[in-house]
Amino acid sequence: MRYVWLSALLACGLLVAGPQDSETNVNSRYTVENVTVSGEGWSSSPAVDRDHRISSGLRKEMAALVGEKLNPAKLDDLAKRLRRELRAHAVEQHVLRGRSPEYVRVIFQVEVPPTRFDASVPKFLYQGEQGWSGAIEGTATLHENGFTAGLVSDGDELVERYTGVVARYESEPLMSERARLRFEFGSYHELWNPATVTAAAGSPALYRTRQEFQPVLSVEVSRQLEVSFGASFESLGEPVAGAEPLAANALVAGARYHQEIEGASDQAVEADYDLRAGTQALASDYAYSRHRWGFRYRLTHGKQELVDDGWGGVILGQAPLFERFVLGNSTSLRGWNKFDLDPLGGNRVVHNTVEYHYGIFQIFCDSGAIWDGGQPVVARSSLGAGLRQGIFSLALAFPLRDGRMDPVFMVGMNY
Amino acid sequence: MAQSRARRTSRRSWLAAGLALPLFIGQAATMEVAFDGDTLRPLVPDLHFLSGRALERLKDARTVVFLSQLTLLGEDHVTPFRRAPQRFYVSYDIWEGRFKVTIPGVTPESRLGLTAEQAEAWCLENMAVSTLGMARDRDYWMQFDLRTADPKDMASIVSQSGISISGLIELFSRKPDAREPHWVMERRLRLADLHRSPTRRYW
Repeated sequence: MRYVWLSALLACGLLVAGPQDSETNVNSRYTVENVTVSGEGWSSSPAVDRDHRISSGLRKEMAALVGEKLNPAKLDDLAKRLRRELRAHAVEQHVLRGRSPEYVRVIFQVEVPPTRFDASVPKFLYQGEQGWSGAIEGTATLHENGFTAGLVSDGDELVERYTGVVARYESEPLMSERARLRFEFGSYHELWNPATVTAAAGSPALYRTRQEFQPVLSVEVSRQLEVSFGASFESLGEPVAGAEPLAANALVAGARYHQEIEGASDQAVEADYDLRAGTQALASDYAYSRHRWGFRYRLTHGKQELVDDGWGGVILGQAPLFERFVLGNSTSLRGWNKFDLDPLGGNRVVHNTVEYHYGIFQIFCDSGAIWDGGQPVVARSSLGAGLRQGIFSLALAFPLRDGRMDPVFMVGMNY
Repeated sequence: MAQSRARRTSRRSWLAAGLALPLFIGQAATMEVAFDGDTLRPLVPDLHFLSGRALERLKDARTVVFLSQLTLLGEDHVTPFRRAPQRFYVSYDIWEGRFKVTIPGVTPESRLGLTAEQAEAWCLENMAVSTLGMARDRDYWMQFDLRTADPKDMASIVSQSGISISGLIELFSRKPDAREPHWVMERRLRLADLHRSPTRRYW
């Protein structure tokens, strides 16, 4: 009986919705020859190109129009979604005659306002062990030049809790849209955990303030590979009362590889490598090199997603505390306390996360080790479960250790 | 005497005429009324609603829905005597350069391969209001209202039994979107003064 009512309601709904576009639109007998998305100075064909501006899901839906009969209602829906995704002022759709009779070309014309302002929360997190972390930013975009200013207080990412202001300039695309120039500035006040203070007793390693300036040029070598070069200038204030600030200036370089394989199951492979080399050539008081590499694999099939994320790092020489690796936060060895593992951070690290998502549900297993060169390596693991919807996440993580189980609760976004 | 009083233009009529004036100014067309003995139809040969923004959308292969409503008002120019709503789904064949018009319903009616003038004429021809129950010697006002409809409005207007009058009243009472084309005309009439004419075919 329930299904009879359901059918009746569905039938009424269809009648109320009026006739289908395919019945009333004379062009629905034509076949779509190709689909193009174009904006000011750029254009891409979703069936051929993998334009990073458009999400994989939307791109696939647009590509699927090719070879099908024209469905103007579907075009309206795609235009709306494209507008939301690209934060465009408007997306106009045009249908033109194709090269062959009975074929049509579809063009989505994206209009992005030359000046716009966005406020965002790049990170917001509560973690049972480390408390609150968050950042808020405002970005003004003027002809594709982005000017960002914001506030941050983060007790999660590094050994220290840094609180202060950030500013950033990101240039419009240069060199045939293949390069971008980025300047970042940050000024922070540092808070140290008592465990870190104790571990660093007698050492001038702790600082009260930190200012950073980082110009970086990123170049897209191919659709899959991006490399970046630049420098990082850091001033570490008052390592001891009344002392001169220390400089931690470094050359920075990185490479990122990204490959998507679309099929019945979507797969994505990412690999990255980052180098930061503190050198006296840049008048640095610290001489070191910090290497970090990572590998990430994602397999998506319907509502299911499997992610493996492994990374490791080595620091050679004497690096400042903000450069040292950390495990036991909201992204690594979840459930462990980073100050229990290594209150000063480590100069060697390996870590791997396996996550399984079904819809909004997630379970994960983290394992890794952090140590200083020459010390014994102790591997640790944790398990957890929770919910994830888009950028929002809620999880309970359990460190796997003998005799005790102290779950840690985490909730937030973009972490 | 009574007749002259009935023909006298009331203050309400002046007010309505004043409010409608800007719409008339925007449209050069004037409306005549055709009477075939049973129904009244608007005759607006100079009205070209397949133009401007609507035509741009049509040439982008979209369906444009036109909603029309003929309203007969009593001689007080306020009391509605009868309403006759209609809707037309218009599309433009980008290969043939011709229009298709569909009047949806239980048995939908369509015309293919029309020029713009033929499509407009066929729409106007299918706007009619019955004269049943109208007194021959009394004054009435016939209001003609034509506008494009947002597809999302259609869900509240079209029902299983046809067009929802309350939905239409709500739509036609709403202040029109300045960007959407909208035509409003009206004319005073008396059945006794109208010549009976056969249905005219424009195409």
